[in-house]
Amino acid sequence: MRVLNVAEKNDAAKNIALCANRGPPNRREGLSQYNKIYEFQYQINGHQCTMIMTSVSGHLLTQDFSPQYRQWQSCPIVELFDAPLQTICPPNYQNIKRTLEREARTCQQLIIWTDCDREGENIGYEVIEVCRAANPRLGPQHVWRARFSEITPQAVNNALRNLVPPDERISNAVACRSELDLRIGAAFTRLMTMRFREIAQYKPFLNEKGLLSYGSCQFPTLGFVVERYKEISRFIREDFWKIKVTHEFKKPEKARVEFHWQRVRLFDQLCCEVIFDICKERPEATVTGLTEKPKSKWRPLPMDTIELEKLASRMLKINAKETMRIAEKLYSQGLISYPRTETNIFPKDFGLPNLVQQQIASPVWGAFAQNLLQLGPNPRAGKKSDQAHPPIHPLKFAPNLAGNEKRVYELIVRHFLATCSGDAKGFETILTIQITEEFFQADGLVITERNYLDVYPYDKWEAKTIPHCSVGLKFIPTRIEMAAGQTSPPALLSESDLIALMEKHGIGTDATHAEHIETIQTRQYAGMNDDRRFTPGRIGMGLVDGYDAIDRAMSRPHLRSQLEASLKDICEGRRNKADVLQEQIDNYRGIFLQAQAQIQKLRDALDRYTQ
Amino acid sequence: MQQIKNEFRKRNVQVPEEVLAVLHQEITGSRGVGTLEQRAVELWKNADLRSFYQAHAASTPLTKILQNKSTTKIGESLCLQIDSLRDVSRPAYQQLQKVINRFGENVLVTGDAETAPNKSEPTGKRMLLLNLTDGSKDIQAMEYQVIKTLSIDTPPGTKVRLIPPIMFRKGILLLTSENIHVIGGQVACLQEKFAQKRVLASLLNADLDAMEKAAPPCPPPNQATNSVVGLRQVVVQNAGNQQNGFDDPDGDAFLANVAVNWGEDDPDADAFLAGALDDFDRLSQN
Repeated sequence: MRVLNVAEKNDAAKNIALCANRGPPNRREGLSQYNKIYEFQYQINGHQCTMIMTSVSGHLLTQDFSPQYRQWQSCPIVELFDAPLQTICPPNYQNIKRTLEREARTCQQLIIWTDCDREGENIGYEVIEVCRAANPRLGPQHVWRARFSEITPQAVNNALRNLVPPDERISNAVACRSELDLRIGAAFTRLMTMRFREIAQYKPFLNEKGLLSYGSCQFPTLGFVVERYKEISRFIREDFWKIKVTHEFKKPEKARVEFHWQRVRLFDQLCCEVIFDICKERPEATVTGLTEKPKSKWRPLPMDTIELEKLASRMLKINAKETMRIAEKLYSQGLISYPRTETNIFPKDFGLPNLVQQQIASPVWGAFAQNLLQLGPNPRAGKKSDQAHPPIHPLKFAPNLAGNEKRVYELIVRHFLATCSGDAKGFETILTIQITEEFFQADGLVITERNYLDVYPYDKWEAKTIPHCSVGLKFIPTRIEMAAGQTSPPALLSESDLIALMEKHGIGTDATHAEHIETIQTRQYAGMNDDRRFTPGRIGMGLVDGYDAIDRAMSRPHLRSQLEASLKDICEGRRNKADVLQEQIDNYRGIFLQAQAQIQKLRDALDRYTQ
Repeated sequence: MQQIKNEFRKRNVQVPEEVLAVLHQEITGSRGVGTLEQRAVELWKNADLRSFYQAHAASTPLTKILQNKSTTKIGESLCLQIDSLRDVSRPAYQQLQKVINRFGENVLVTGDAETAPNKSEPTGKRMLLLNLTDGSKDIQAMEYQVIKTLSIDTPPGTKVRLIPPIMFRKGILLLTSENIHVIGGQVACLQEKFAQKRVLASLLNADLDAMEKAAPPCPPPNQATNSVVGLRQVVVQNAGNQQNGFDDPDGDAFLANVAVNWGEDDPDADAFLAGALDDFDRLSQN
């Protein structure tokens, strides 16, 4: 029995073969120099099989309009919403396709080993389509899906013991999305480019293909950036005043304590002065309360994709796209589990002790891991699960990494060890004093057990001492003063803020956030400033303003989040692809016609910003 | 006229003679629900006190108080009208945005797990700053301790009785709940002129018109769209019936296996793999 196995990239194919074979497989060349073929023997359910393992390099096929619609002048743009499409294999992947066809002809079974997420399922169906065309005997009973969340011997063997048919619904959801993106993107891009490319002052803003392009996911992402920018420019600063009390304690211990006003601040100077005068006249302070209560700082939740992206962006200053590229690489090498996951809870009996043990070898966190092993890992449980993959975690110790790969790997390990360890514990003391009718308080913190903080430098918890005064103690504060301040506008969006907004409003999935964020930058609609925060570019502002004038829904998240929700419905079998396609095409066609009719508003807005 | 005076006295409200005279004039001959005296009181409650002093700026109790700024306590009762009020414990800009429904919640979203999501900055207890008048002179009062009978929605034109002893400093009255009794009433033209949004906008020098004309904020997401996607679906209805090269496992068995086998120990494989990858990389020149 010969079985063809196809993975999503060469790295994965190589390592999966290695894991299944428990040793280096035989390697031979395919027709594509980047996708090798690995052969080995394996027993599947008692049957002896020759396993032929190869790979594609991501999507093998793409969709485009039929040739008669590809020319921009060929049809009224609105027809793109209904024009026929065809599936083709791009020239640089022809060799991969021929390799699959050649190998498929000699095999009786096909197993799909693409990444276990939506795109992976869709790529799997492309592989099936190509192989079946070459070898029609590969019918539904002969095509299988391997399910795995990490590239390790146990996961690979497990996958082979539990093969299932591929899930067409998931592939359909992806096909639906990509068709919509093609039609919507093409229609709006043609509209804008054809109307505006001759205008001299817009020329610097066309991309390298000379296009002014549009995507229905990037646009709401850009919308968030513009919205925040506008909030900041509209913001009106206000002066405020507050009273600060400082005291140098000598007894019971020497300490300098700053008290905060319970009123926090007042936005009228006279009111604050009045109260300040009263306090200065009778400045004697009386301790009215000293409460001490246990306080803990929670260890982090198990890591999902969004957390990884946000943490890497904030702490390591690595942007999301790069983080995911590195994570994919670490996964293909069998160092971490599958990095695209929405799960933040570990299943019971997950085998955590073994995973912790792998990290004992580290000279940096080995001691912590050793200690954790003795105490027993106790992960915090989140509430989300995508039923497909566990939270992101390290699989084994990796001593030979360098640069950003090393830093991302380290983040994942430290986060994993932290989540399995214990919350940091301490005591919080709140000292309250009263001066005339005003109350002031100071907070102290004593940390009794650092626990997870010892392995997780990304969280800060700082101790602060407060003297233990007794209630009723009276003193004259060393200093009572009135200070002024001013409110400030919110900050520009950081990448991690933008990801949080996209997640909140349902734009994109954990697999695509990073991509959309990158796209708005490569199209120059927005850029990152020196502080790693997003500002909209002039053309970005013009586009959002212009489309807002036509139909506010375009730059708002609702349209797209509805689309994403419908895609979920296809995945979960609640709706079928044809219905969703028709509904969304009708939606966007309507908006397109509106935009076309009111294109002058877009022109006006772009002019305003590009003068 | 004496009856009107008594009606007021019953409510502990001191009304100057000039005002009583005007009220008496207005009310006699008019029709309405209730006795003449009751209607007089209602008329007073819902009138702008300034309208009683159109001719001249009379000398009222407030005149004396305002002249003598060094006193720290007022010993007499005062019947005043609230022209406008605002909350000085919070920024006016955010208050204004919320009143005209232009506050976008997205401004509170942050990617920092440390900060509690959707919480704006901490504030202390409320402090209302009132602009009061007796019809002739104006004075400000601050809510020194929270007064439950007042709120940001208390309508302009509301009549209040201030009860001594009242603290007084730098020209402002300091009020606690014991210092004030809200009589009631409202005045339409004052409500219009001193609506919260106008009070806040004028304080900030903001273009209220432009703000109101701007697009309403991005609405919060529909919660239903954010449920977590399930990749793994119910599989294989006819799995058991298929003739094929592999004995097909039951879809449910897979689900059960997932939970258990996801970390199944395979120590030999691990030990092997630890060295194997390195060897393989060396051998494979990839």
